[in-house]
Amino acid sequence: MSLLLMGVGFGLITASVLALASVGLTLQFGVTNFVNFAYGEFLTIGAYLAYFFSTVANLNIWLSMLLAALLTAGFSWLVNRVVIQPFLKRKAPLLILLVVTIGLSLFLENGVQAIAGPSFEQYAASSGAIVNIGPMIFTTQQLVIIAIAIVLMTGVHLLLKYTRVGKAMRSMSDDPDLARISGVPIQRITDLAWVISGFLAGLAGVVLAINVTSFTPVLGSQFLFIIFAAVIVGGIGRPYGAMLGALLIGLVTEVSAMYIDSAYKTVVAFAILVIVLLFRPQGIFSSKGRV
Amino acid sequence: MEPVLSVSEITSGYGASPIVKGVSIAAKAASTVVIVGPNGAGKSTLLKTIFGLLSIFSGKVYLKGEDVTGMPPERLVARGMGYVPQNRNVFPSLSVRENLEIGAYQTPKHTSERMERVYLMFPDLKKAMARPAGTLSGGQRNMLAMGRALMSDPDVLLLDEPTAGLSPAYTKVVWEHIVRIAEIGKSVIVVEQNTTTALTSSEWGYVLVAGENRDQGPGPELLARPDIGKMFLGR
Ligand SMILES: Nc1ncnc2c1ncn2[C@@H]1O[C@H](COP(=O)(O)OP(=O)(O)O)[C@@H](O)[C@H]1O
Ligand SMILES: [Mg+2]
Repeated sequence: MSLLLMGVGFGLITASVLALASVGLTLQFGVTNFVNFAYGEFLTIGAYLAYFFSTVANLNIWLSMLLAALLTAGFSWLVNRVVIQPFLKRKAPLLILLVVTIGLSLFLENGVQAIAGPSFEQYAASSGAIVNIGPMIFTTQQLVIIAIAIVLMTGVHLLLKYTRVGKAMRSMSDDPDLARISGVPIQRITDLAWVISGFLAGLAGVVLAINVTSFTPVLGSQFLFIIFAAVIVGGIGRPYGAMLGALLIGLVTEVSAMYIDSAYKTVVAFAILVIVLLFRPQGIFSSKGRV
Repeated sequence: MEPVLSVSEITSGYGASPIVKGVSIAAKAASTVVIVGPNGAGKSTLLKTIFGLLSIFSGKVYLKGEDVTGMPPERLVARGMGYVPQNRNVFPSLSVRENLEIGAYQTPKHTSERMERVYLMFPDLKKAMARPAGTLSGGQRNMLAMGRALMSDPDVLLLDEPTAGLSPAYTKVVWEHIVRIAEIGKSVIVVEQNTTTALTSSEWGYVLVAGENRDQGPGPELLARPDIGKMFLGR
Protein backbone atom coordinates (compact mmCIF):
# COMPACT_ATOMS: atom_id res chain seq x y z
CA MET A 1 0.00 0.00 0.00
CA SER A 2 1.40 3.37 -0.92
CA LEU A 3 2.19 5.91 1.74
CA LEU A 4 -0.33 8.28 0.25
CA LEU A 5 -3.26 5.89 0.59
CA MET A 6 -2.17 4.95 4.07
CA GLY A 7 -2.19 8.64 4.95
CA VAL A 8 -5.65 9.03 3.45
CA GLY A 9 -6.87 6.13 5.57
CA PHE A 10 -5.51 7.67 8.77
CA GLY A 11 -6.80 11.03 7.56
CA LEU A 12 -10.35 9.75 7.33
CA ILE A 13 -10.19 8.48 10.90
CA THR A 14 -8.71 11.72 12.23
CA ALA A 15 -11.24 13.69 10.20
CA SER A 16 -14.03 11.67 11.81
CA VAL A 17 -12.79 12.40 15.32
CA LEU A 18 -12.22 16.02 14.39
CA ALA A 19 -15.62 16.44 12.73
CA LEU A 20 -17.45 15.34 15.88
CA ALA A 21 -15.41 17.71 18.01
CA SER A 22 -15.48 20.69 15.63
CA VAL A 23 -19.19 20.58 14.92
CA GLY A 24 -19.86 20.46 18.66
CA LEU A 25 -17.70 23.52 19.30
CA THR A 26 -19.01 25.51 16.36
CA LEU A 27 -22.70 24.80 17.11
CA GLN A 28 -22.35 26.23 20.57
CA PHE A 29 -20.43 29.21 19.19
CA GLY A 30 -23.05 29.82 16.51
CA VAL A 31 -25.83 30.06 19.06
CA THR A 32 -24.02 31.88 21.89
CA ASN A 33 -21.41 33.84 19.94
CA PHE A 34 -18.44 33.18 22.20
CA VAL A 35 -15.75 30.51 22.18
CA ASN A 36 -15.71 27.91 24.94
CA PHE A 37 -12.03 27.45 25.74
CA ALA A 38 -12.90 24.66 28.18
CA TYR A 39 -14.19 22.57 25.28
CA GLY A 40 -11.00 20.47 25.18
CA GLU A 41 -11.69 19.36 28.76
CA PHE A 42 -15.20 18.32 27.75
CA LEU A 43 -13.47 15.78 25.48
CA THR A 44 -11.18 14.72 28.29
CA ILE A 45 -14.12 14.22 30.64
CA GLY A 46 -15.90 12.11 28.03
CA ALA A 47 -12.78 9.97 27.56
CA TYR A 48 -12.34 9.37 31.31
CA LEU A 49 -16.03 8.64 31.89
CA ALA A 50 -15.86 5.99 29.16
CA TYR A 51 -12.71 4.64 30.80
CA PHE A 52 -14.64 4.28 34.02
CA PHE A 53 -17.59 2.51 32.36
CA SER A 54 -15.54 0.23 30.11
CA THR A 55 -12.51 -0.62 32.21
CA VAL A 56 -13.72 -0.22 35.79
CA ALA A 57 -17.39 -1.21 35.34
CA ASN A 58 -16.60 -3.64 32.51
CA LEU A 59 -19.20 -2.41 30.04
CA ASN A 60 -18.87 -2.66 26.27
CA ILE A 61 -16.76 0.21 24.88
CA TRP A 62 -19.46 1.59 22.59
CA LEU A 63 -22.07 1.47 25.31
CA SER A 64 -19.54 3.20 27.57
CA MET A 65 -19.04 5.84 24.89
CA LEU A 66 -22.77 6.49 24.70
CA LEU A 67 -23.10 6.78 28.48
CA ALA A 68 -20.05 9.04 28.65
CA ALA A 69 -21.42 11.28 25.89
CA LEU A 70 -24.79 11.58 27.64
CA LEU A 71 -23.11 12.51 30.92
CA THR A 72 -20.84 15.02 29.16
CA ALA A 73 -23.95 16.52 27.57
CA GLY A 74 -25.46 16.93 31.02
CA PHE A 75 -22.22 18.39 32.31
CA SER A 76 -22.13 20.86 29.42
CA TRP A 77 -25.70 21.93 30.24
CA LEU A 78 -24.64 22.43 33.85
CA VAL A 79 -21.61 24.52 32.84
CA ASN A 80 -23.89 26.82 30.85
CA ARG A 81 -26.41 27.16 33.66
CA VAL A 82 -24.04 27.40 36.63
CA VAL A 83 -20.93 29.05 35.20
CA ILE A 84 -21.87 30.97 32.04
CA GLN A 85 -25.41 32.24 32.64
CA PRO A 86 -24.64 34.16 35.85
CA PHE A 87 -22.10 36.21 33.88
CA LEU A 88 -24.49 36.75 30.98
CA LYS A 89 -27.22 37.89 33.39
CA ARG A 90 -24.85 40.56 34.65
CA LYS A 91 -24.17 41.49 31.04
CA ALA A 92 -20.48 40.64 31.29
CA PRO A 93 -18.52 41.55 28.14
CA LEU A 94 -17.45 38.73 25.83
CA LEU A 95 -13.83 39.09 26.91
CA ILE A 96 -14.83 38.20 30.47
CA LEU A 97 -16.62 35.08 29.20
CA LEU A 98 -13.48 34.00 27.37
CA VAL A 99 -11.45 34.45 30.54
CA VAL A 100 -14.09 32.49 32.46
CA THR A 101 -13.92 29.55 30.04
CA ILE A 102 -10.10 29.61 30.11
CA GLY A 103 -10.24 29.50 33.90
CA LEU A 104 -12.76 26.69 33.75
CA SER A 105 -10.45 24.82 31.39
CA LEU A 106 -7.58 24.91 33.91
CA PHE A 107 -9.90 23.98 36.73
CA LEU A 108 -11.34 20.98 34.88
CA GLU A 109 -7.99 19.70 33.65
CA ASN A 110 -6.60 19.78 37.17
CA GLY A 111 -9.82 18.28 38.49
CA VAL A 112 -9.53 15.31 36.15
CA GLN A 113 -5.89 14.94 37.09
CA ALA A 114 -6.72 15.02 40.80
CA ILE A 115 -9.35 12.31 40.41
CA ALA A 116 -7.83 10.07 37.74
CA GLY A 117 -4.13 10.73 38.26
CA PRO A 118 -1.57 11.96 35.73
CA SER A 119 -0.55 8.58 34.32
CA PHE A 120 -1.43 7.08 30.95
CA GLU A 121 -4.69 5.16 30.67
CA GLN A 122 -5.92 2.85 27.95
CA TYR A 123 -9.28 1.24 27.18
CA ALA A 124 -9.36 -2.53 27.57
CA ALA A 125 -11.37 -3.00 24.35
CA SER A 126 -9.65 -4.71 21.44
CA SER A 127 -9.30 -2.81 18.21
CA GLY A 128 -11.04 -5.61 16.32
CA ALA A 129 -10.33 -7.45 13.10
CA ILE A 130 -8.40 -6.01 10.17
CA VAL A 131 -10.56 -4.98 7.23
CA ASN A 132 -9.31 -4.22 3.72
CA ILE A 133 -11.23 -1.59 1.81
CA GLY A 134 -9.63 -1.34 -1.60
CA PRO A 135 -5.99 -0.64 -0.94
CA MET A 136 -6.67 0.79 2.54
CA ILE A 137 -6.54 -1.14 5.79
CA PHE A 138 -8.74 -0.38 8.79
CA THR A 139 -9.56 -2.09 12.05
CA THR A 140 -13.25 -2.64 12.73
CA GLN A 141 -12.90 -0.18 15.60
CA GLN A 142 -11.69 2.49 13.17
CA LEU A 143 -14.56 1.75 10.80
CA VAL A 144 -17.02 2.15 13.66
CA ILE A 145 -15.47 5.56 14.42
CA ILE A 146 -15.93 6.66 10.81
CA ALA A 147 -19.51 5.35 10.83
CA ILE A 148 -20.28 7.21 14.06
CA ALA A 149 -19.03 10.44 12.53
CA ILE A 150 -21.07 9.94 9.35
CA VAL A 151 -24.23 9.15 11.31
CA LEU A 152 -23.79 12.11 13.66
CA MET A 153 -22.97 14.57 10.86
CA THR A 154 -26.07 13.42 8.98
CA GLY A 155 -28.02 13.82 12.21
CA VAL A 156 -26.75 17.38 12.72
CA HIS A 157 -27.62 18.18 9.11
CA LEU A 158 -31.17 16.86 9.49
CA LEU A 159 -31.56 18.67 12.79
CA LEU A 160 -30.49 22.04 11.40
CA LYS A 161 -32.32 21.76 8.12
CA TYR A 162 -35.60 20.11 9.01
CA THR A 163 -36.47 20.52 12.68
CA ARG A 164 -38.07 23.45 14.43
CA VAL A 165 -35.35 23.68 17.08
CA GLY A 166 -32.62 23.30 14.47
CA LYS A 167 -33.99 26.22 12.48
CA ALA A 168 -34.30 28.17 15.72
CA MET A 169 -30.59 27.52 16.37
CA ARG A 170 -29.75 28.84 12.92
CA SER A 171 -31.95 31.88 13.47
CA MET A 172 -30.09 32.65 16.71
CA SER A 173 -26.82 32.25 14.90
CA ASP A 174 -28.00 34.80 12.32
CA ASP A 175 -29.44 37.34 14.74
CA PRO A 176 -30.18 36.51 18.39
CA ASP A 177 -32.15 39.72 19.00
CA LEU A 178 -34.44 39.12 16.06
CA ALA A 179 -34.84 35.48 17.13
CA ARG A 180 -36.05 36.64 20.51
CA ILE A 181 -38.38 39.17 18.92
CA SER A 182 -39.79 36.44 16.68
CA GLY A 183 -40.75 34.35 19.68
CA VAL A 184 -37.84 31.89 19.74
CA PRO A 185 -37.29 30.81 23.38
CA ILE A 186 -33.61 31.68 23.28
CA GLN A 187 -32.89 30.33 26.75
CA ARG A 188 -34.14 26.86 25.88
CA ILE A 189 -32.40 26.85 22.50
CA THR A 190 -29.16 27.92 24.19
CA ASP A 191 -29.52 25.04 26.67
CA LEU A 192 -30.05 22.68 23.77
CA ALA A 193 -26.97 23.97 21.95
CA TRP A 194 -24.84 23.30 25.03
CA VAL A 195 -26.32 19.82 25.42
CA ILE A 196 -25.63 18.88 21.79
CA SER A 197 -22.19 20.45 21.99
CA GLY A 198 -21.40 18.43 25.13
CA PHE A 199 -22.75 15.23 23.61
CA LEU A 200 -20.54 15.61 20.54
CA ALA A 201 -17.56 16.54 22.74
CA GLY A 202 -18.10 13.40 24.83
CA LEU A 203 -18.24 11.19 21.74
CA ALA A 204 -15.22 12.94 20.26
CA GLY A 205 -13.24 12.48 23.46
CA VAL A 206 -13.85 8.74 23.49
CA VAL A 207 -13.05 8.17 19.83
CA LEU A 208 -10.00 10.41 20.19
CA ALA A 209 -8.82 8.32 23.14
CA ILE A 210 -9.40 5.13 21.13
CA ASN A 211 -7.52 6.62 18.20
CA VAL A 212 -4.44 7.67 20.18
CA THR A 213 -4.58 4.42 22.24
CA SER A 214 -3.32 5.82 25.54
CA PHE A 215 -4.21 9.15 27.09
CA THR A 216 -3.69 11.48 30.06
CA PRO A 217 -5.72 14.42 31.45
CA VAL A 218 -4.28 16.72 28.75
CA LEU A 219 -5.92 14.63 25.98
CA GLY A 220 -8.53 17.26 25.09
CA SER A 221 -6.53 20.42 25.66
CA GLN A 222 -3.77 19.15 23.37
CA PHE A 223 -6.34 18.47 20.66
CA LEU A 224 -8.11 21.83 21.07
CA PHE A 225 -5.81 23.68 18.71
CA ILE A 226 -6.55 21.24 15.88
CA ILE A 227 -10.27 21.63 16.62
CA PHE A 228 -9.92 25.41 16.40
CA ALA A 229 -8.08 25.06 13.12
CA ALA A 230 -10.90 22.96 11.60
CA VAL A 231 -13.57 25.28 12.99
CA ILE A 232 -11.89 28.47 11.78
CA VAL A 233 -10.94 27.06 8.38
CA GLY A 234 -14.61 26.22 7.86
CA GLY A 235 -15.78 29.59 9.13
CA ILE A 236 -16.51 29.79 12.83
CA GLY A 237 -20.13 29.14 13.80
CA ARG A 238 -20.86 27.17 10.62
CA PRO A 239 -21.39 23.44 11.17
CA TYR A 240 -21.05 22.52 7.49
CA GLY A 241 -17.83 24.52 7.38
CA ALA A 242 -16.54 22.64 10.42
CA MET A 243 -17.27 19.31 8.73
CA LEU A 244 -15.35 20.41 5.67
CA GLY A 245 -12.58 21.91 7.79
CA ALA A 246 -12.28 18.64 9.71
CA LEU A 247 -11.98 16.66 6.50
CA LEU A 248 -9.37 19.04 5.11
CA ILE A 249 -7.27 19.25 8.28
CA GLY A 250 -7.61 15.52 8.98
CA LEU A 251 -6.50 14.45 5.52
CA VAL A 252 -3.68 16.94 5.09
CA THR A 253 -2.15 16.44 8.54
CA GLU A 254 -2.17 12.64 8.23
CA VAL A 255 -0.95 12.50 4.65
CA SER A 256 1.86 14.93 5.47
CA ALA A 257 2.76 12.81 8.50
CA MET A 258 3.56 9.98 6.07
CA TYR A 259 6.29 12.07 4.46
CA ILE A 260 7.54 14.32 7.25
CA ASP A 261 7.83 13.76 10.99
CA SER A 262 4.38 13.24 12.50
CA ALA A 263 5.41 15.59 15.31
CA TYR A 264 4.74 18.38 12.80
CA LYS A 265 0.99 17.63 12.53
CA THR A 266 0.06 20.70 14.54
CA VAL A 267 2.39 22.84 12.46
CA VAL A 268 0.74 21.54 9.30
CA ALA A 269 -2.71 22.30 10.72
CA PHE A 270 -1.50 25.79 11.55
CA ALA A 271 -0.12 26.23 8.03
CA ILE A 272 -3.48 25.26 6.50
CA LEU A 273 -5.17 27.70 8.83
CA VAL A 274 -2.86 30.54 7.82
CA ILE A 275 -3.19 29.79 4.11
CA VAL A 276 -6.98 29.64 4.24
CA LEU A 277 -7.19 32.81 6.31
CA LEU A 278 -4.91 34.62 3.85
CA PHE A 279 -7.26 33.94 0.97
CA ARG A 280 -10.61 33.68 2.76
CA PRO A 281 -10.47 35.44 6.14
CA GLN A 282 -14.10 34.46 6.81
CA GLY A 283 -13.33 30.77 6.34
CA ILE A 284 -14.20 28.54 3.40
CA PHE A 285 -17.93 28.49 4.09
CA SER A 286 -18.77 32.15 4.11
CA SER A 287 -20.96 33.15 1.20
CA LYS A 288 -24.14 32.57 3.19
CA GLY A 289 -24.44 33.61 6.85
CA ARG A 290 -23.24 31.50 9.72
CA VAL A 291 -24.45 27.91 10.18
CA MET B 1 -65.10 49.10 21.82
CA GLU B 2 -62.49 47.81 24.29
CA PRO B 3 -58.98 48.52 22.95
CA VAL B 4 -56.87 45.45 22.07
CA LEU B 5 -53.76 47.22 23.25
CA SER B 6 -53.73 49.90 25.85
CA VAL B 7 -50.60 51.59 27.11
CA SER B 8 -51.04 53.70 30.19
CA GLU B 9 -48.63 56.41 31.37
CA ILE B 10 -45.50 54.53 30.30
CA THR B 11 -42.10 55.85 31.32
CA SER B 12 -39.01 53.96 30.15
CA GLY B 13 -35.47 54.29 28.86
CA TYR B 14 -32.18 52.51 28.29
CA GLY B 15 -30.23 53.47 31.37
CA ALA B 16 -31.39 55.44 34.36
CA SER B 17 -32.75 58.49 32.54
CA PRO B 18 -36.20 58.22 30.97
CA ILE B 19 -36.60 58.57 27.19
CA VAL B 20 -40.33 57.92 26.96
CA LYS B 21 -42.19 59.96 29.54
CA GLY B 22 -45.71 59.13 30.64
CA VAL B 23 -47.03 58.15 27.23
CA SER B 24 -50.47 56.59 26.81
CA ILE B 25 -51.82 55.07 23.63
CA ALA B 26 -54.71 52.77 22.75
CA ALA B 27 -55.44 50.70 19.66
CA LYS B 28 -58.62 48.94 18.58
CA ALA B 29 -59.03 45.80 16.51
CA ALA B 30 -59.21 46.24 12.74
CA SER B 31 -57.63 49.67 12.75
CA THR B 32 -54.35 51.41 12.10
CA VAL B 33 -52.76 53.75 14.59
CA VAL B 34 -49.73 55.78 13.61
CA ILE B 35 -47.12 57.36 15.84
CA VAL B 36 -45.29 60.27 14.26
CA GLY B 37 -42.72 62.65 15.64
CA PRO B 38 -39.27 64.08 14.94
CA ASN B 39 -36.14 61.96 14.90
CA GLY B 40 -35.07 60.97 18.38
CA ALA B 41 -38.52 61.63 19.86
CA GLY B 42 -38.60 58.15 21.38
CA LYS B 43 -40.93 56.40 18.92
CA SER B 44 -38.77 53.29 18.54
CA THR B 45 -38.12 53.29 22.27
CA LEU B 46 -41.86 53.28 22.89
CA LEU B 47 -42.42 50.25 20.63
CA LYS B 48 -39.51 48.38 22.22
CA THR B 49 -40.95 49.12 25.66
CA ILE B 50 -44.40 47.82 24.72
CA PHE B 51 -42.79 44.66 23.34
CA GLY B 52 -40.91 43.91 26.54
CA LEU B 53 -37.43 44.73 25.24
CA LEU B 54 -36.77 47.52 27.73
CA SER B 55 -37.48 47.76 31.41
CA ILE B 56 -40.43 49.92 32.33
CA PHE B 57 -39.88 52.58 35.02
CA SER B 58 -43.59 53.12 35.54
CA GLY B 59 -46.90 52.61 33.76
CA LYS B 60 -48.80 49.61 32.45
CA VAL B 61 -49.33 47.70 29.23
CA TYR B 62 -52.60 45.82 28.70
CA LEU B 63 -53.12 43.31 25.91
CA LYS B 64 -56.72 42.22 25.39
CA GLY B 65 -57.51 43.48 28.87
CA GLU B 66 -54.73 41.58 30.58
CA ASP B 67 -51.78 43.22 32.29
CA VAL B 68 -48.68 42.20 30.31
CA THR B 69 -46.33 44.84 31.72
CA GLY B 70 -42.72 43.63 31.71
CA MET B 71 -43.51 40.34 30.00
CA PRO B 72 -40.66 39.04 27.79
CA PRO B 73 -41.10 39.07 23.99
CA GLU B 74 -41.59 35.32 23.49
CA ARG B 75 -44.52 35.31 25.90
CA LEU B 76 -46.02 38.39 24.28
CA VAL B 77 -45.76 36.66 20.91
CA ALA B 78 -47.57 33.63 22.34
CA ARG B 79 -50.28 35.98 23.64
CA GLY B 80 -50.85 37.78 20.38
CA MET B 81 -48.36 40.60 19.94
CA GLY B 82 -46.01 40.92 16.99
CA TYR B 83 -43.18 43.37 16.39
CA VAL B 84 -41.12 44.28 13.36
CA PRO B 85 -37.97 46.29 14.13
CA GLN B 86 -36.79 48.94 11.72
CA ASN B 87 -33.40 47.45 10.92
CA ARG B 88 -32.14 43.90 10.75
CA ASN B 89 -35.64 42.50 10.51
CA VAL B 90 -34.96 39.28 8.56
CA PHE B 91 -32.62 36.31 9.08
CA PRO B 92 -30.26 36.72 6.11
CA SER B 93 -28.96 33.14 5.87
CA LEU B 94 -32.36 31.52 6.35
CA SER B 95 -34.59 31.05 3.33
CA VAL B 96 -37.75 33.13 2.98
CA ARG B 97 -39.79 30.09 3.97
CA GLU B 98 -37.60 29.43 7.03
CA ASN B 99 -37.94 33.06 8.09
CA LEU B 100 -41.70 32.60 8.07
CA GLU B 101 -41.42 29.32 9.97
CA ILE B 102 -39.43 31.03 12.71
CA GLY B 103 -42.26 33.54 13.00
CA ALA B 104 -44.58 30.63 13.79
CA TYR B 105 -42.31 29.22 16.51
CA GLN B 106 -44.65 30.05 19.38
CA THR B 107 -47.76 29.00 17.48
CA PRO B 108 -46.74 26.02 15.34
CA LYS B 109 -50.20 24.51 14.81
CA HIS B 110 -51.34 26.27 11.66
CA THR B 111 -47.99 27.04 10.06
CA SER B 112 -48.70 25.93 6.48
CA GLU B 113 -52.13 27.55 6.42
CA ARG B 114 -50.73 30.86 7.63
CA MET B 115 -47.83 30.65 5.25
CA GLU B 116 -50.30 30.36 2.37
CA ARG B 117 -52.08 33.45 3.67
CA VAL B 118 -48.80 35.38 3.82
CA TYR B 119 -47.90 34.24 0.29
CA LEU B 120 -51.33 35.36 -0.90
CA MET B 121 -50.73 38.79 0.57
CA PHE B 122 -47.12 39.02 -0.66
CA PRO B 123 -46.84 37.06 -3.94
CA ASP B 124 -43.23 38.27 -4.29
CA LEU B 125 -42.32 36.19 -1.26
CA LYS B 126 -43.85 33.05 -2.70
CA LYS B 127 -41.66 33.41 -5.77
CA ALA B 128 -38.58 33.86 -3.57
CA MET B 129 -39.60 31.13 -1.09
CA ALA B 130 -36.35 29.12 -1.31
CA ARG B 131 -33.97 32.08 -1.53
CA PRO B 132 -31.90 33.24 1.45
CA ALA B 133 -33.51 36.38 2.83
CA GLY B 134 -30.17 38.16 2.60
CA THR B 135 -30.56 38.26 -1.19
CA LEU B 136 -33.90 40.13 -1.13
CA SER B 137 -34.31 43.82 -1.95
CA GLY B 138 -35.03 46.30 0.84
CA GLY B 139 -38.72 46.42 0.04
CA GLN B 140 -39.02 42.64 -0.14
CA ARG B 141 -37.24 42.36 3.19
CA ASN B 142 -39.79 44.63 4.82
CA MET B 143 -42.56 42.48 3.31
CA LEU B 144 -40.89 39.36 4.69
CA ALA B 145 -40.46 40.97 8.09
CA MET B 146 -44.19 41.77 8.17
CA GLY B 147 -45.01 38.29 6.94
CA ARG B 148 -42.82 36.77 9.64
CA ALA B 149 -44.65 38.74 12.32
CA LEU B 150 -48.03 37.72 10.85
CA MET B 151 -47.10 34.02 11.14
CA SER B 152 -47.99 34.02 14.84
CA ASP B 153 -51.41 35.45 13.89
CA PRO B 154 -51.04 38.42 16.28
CA ASP B 155 -53.92 40.59 17.40
CA VAL B 156 -51.57 43.56 17.65
CA LEU B 157 -48.78 44.27 15.21
CA LEU B 158 -46.10 46.86 16.01
CA LEU B 159 -44.23 48.15 12.95
CA ASP B 160 -41.19 50.42 13.26
CA GLU B 161 -40.77 52.54 10.12
CA PRO B 162 -41.77 49.87 7.61
CA THR B 163 -41.18 52.23 4.69
CA ALA B 164 -37.80 53.66 5.69
CA GLY B 165 -35.47 53.76 2.72
CA LEU B 166 -38.14 52.71 0.23
CA SER B 167 -39.14 54.53 -2.94
CA PRO B 168 -42.44 56.48 -2.88
CA ALA B 169 -43.99 53.79 -5.09
CA TYR B 170 -42.95 51.01 -2.74
CA THR B 171 -44.04 53.08 0.26
CA LYS B 172 -47.51 53.18 -1.23
CA VAL B 173 -47.48 49.40 -1.72
CA VAL B 174 -46.39 48.81 1.88
CA TRP B 175 -49.18 51.04 3.18
CA GLU B 176 -51.72 49.20 1.06
CA HIS B 177 -50.57 46.05 2.84
CA ILE B 178 -50.77 47.68 6.26
CA VAL B 179 -54.34 48.76 5.56
CA ARG B 180 -55.19 45.26 4.37
CA ILE B 181 -53.69 43.73 7.53
CA ALA B 182 -55.94 46.00 9.57
CA GLU B 183 -58.91 44.99 7.42
CA ILE B 184 -58.46 41.33 8.34
CA GLY B 185 -59.00 42.34 11.97
CA LYS B 186 -55.55 43.20 13.28
CA SER B 187 -54.69 46.22 15.31
CA VAL B 188 -51.66 47.76 13.61
CA ILE B 189 -49.47 50.32 15.34
CA VAL B 190 -47.03 51.98 12.98
CA VAL B 191 -44.16 54.35 13.67
CA GLU B 192 -43.58 56.43 10.55
CA GLN B 193 -41.43 59.15 9.06
CA ASN B 194 -43.49 59.33 5.88
CA THR B 195 -46.06 61.38 7.74
CA THR B 196 -48.42 62.25 4.90
CA THR B 197 -49.11 58.71 3.71
CA ALA B 198 -49.21 57.43 7.28
CA LEU B 199 -51.67 59.95 8.64
CA THR B 200 -53.87 59.74 5.54
CA SER B 201 -54.14 55.98 5.92
CA SER B 202 -54.59 55.83 9.69
CA GLU B 203 -57.65 55.98 11.83
CA TRP B 204 -55.81 57.60 14.71
CA GLY B 205 -52.49 59.33 15.11
CA TYR B 206 -50.24 60.24 18.02
CA VAL B 207 -47.61 62.95 17.91
CA LEU B 208 -44.59 62.17 20.07
CA VAL B 209 -42.14 64.96 20.82
CA ALA B 210 -39.17 64.63 23.21
CA GLY B 211 -40.62 61.46 24.69
CA GLU B 212 -43.96 63.03 25.45
CA ASN B 213 -47.37 62.66 23.91
CA ARG B 214 -47.80 66.09 22.34
CA ASP B 215 -51.02 65.53 20.45
CA GLN B 216 -53.47 62.98 19.11
CA GLY B 217 -56.47 62.74 16.85
CA PRO B 218 -57.87 61.16 13.68
CA GLY B 219 -55.02 60.83 11.16
CA PRO B 220 -56.36 63.03 8.35
CA GLU B 221 -57.40 65.69 10.85
CA LEU B 222 -53.91 65.87 12.35
CA LEU B 223 -52.47 66.10 8.87
CA ALA B 224 -54.68 69.05 8.04
CA ARG B 225 -53.59 71.01 11.12
CA PRO B 226 -51.18 73.85 10.33
CA ASP B 227 -48.98 73.36 13.42
CA ILE B 228 -48.43 69.67 12.67
CA GLY B 229 -47.83 70.41 9.03
CA LYS B 230 -45.18 72.90 10.06
CA MET B 231 -43.48 70.43 12.38
CA PHE B 232 -43.17 67.60 9.86
CA LEU B 233 -43.78 68.81 6.39
CA GLY B 234 -42.15 72.19 6.37
CA ARG B 235 -45.40 73.87 5.38
N1 LIG C 1 -29.85 51.61 22.46
C1 LIG C 1 -29.91 52.85 22.98
N2 LIG C 1 -29.22 53.14 24.11
C2 LIG C 1 -29.27 54.38 24.64
N3 LIG C 1 -29.99 55.40 24.14
C3 LIG C 1 -30.71 55.17 23.02
C4 LIG C 1 -30.69 53.88 22.39
N4 LIG C 1 -31.50 53.95 21.30
C5 LIG C 1 -31.99 55.20 21.27
N5 LIG C 1 -31.51 55.94 22.29
C6 LIG C 1 -31.83 57.34 22.58
O1 LIG C 1 -33.22 57.43 22.83
C7 LIG C 1 -33.76 58.59 22.23
C8 LIG C 1 -34.96 58.19 21.39
O2 LIG C 1 -34.53 57.34 20.35
P1 LIG C 1 -35.55 56.59 19.42
O3 LIG C 1 -36.60 55.96 20.27
O4 LIG C 1 -34.79 55.71 18.55
O5 LIG C 1 -36.19 57.79 18.60
P2 LIG C 1 -37.08 57.74 17.28
O6 LIG C 1 -37.40 56.33 16.97
O7 LIG C 1 -38.27 58.56 17.62
O8 LIG C 1 -36.28 58.39 16.20
C9 LIG C 1 -32.64 59.24 21.43
O9 LIG C 1 -32.17 60.33 22.18
C10 LIG C 1 -31.57 58.18 21.34
O10 LIG C 1 -30.30 58.77 21.41
MG1 LIG D 1 -36.86 55.11 15.37
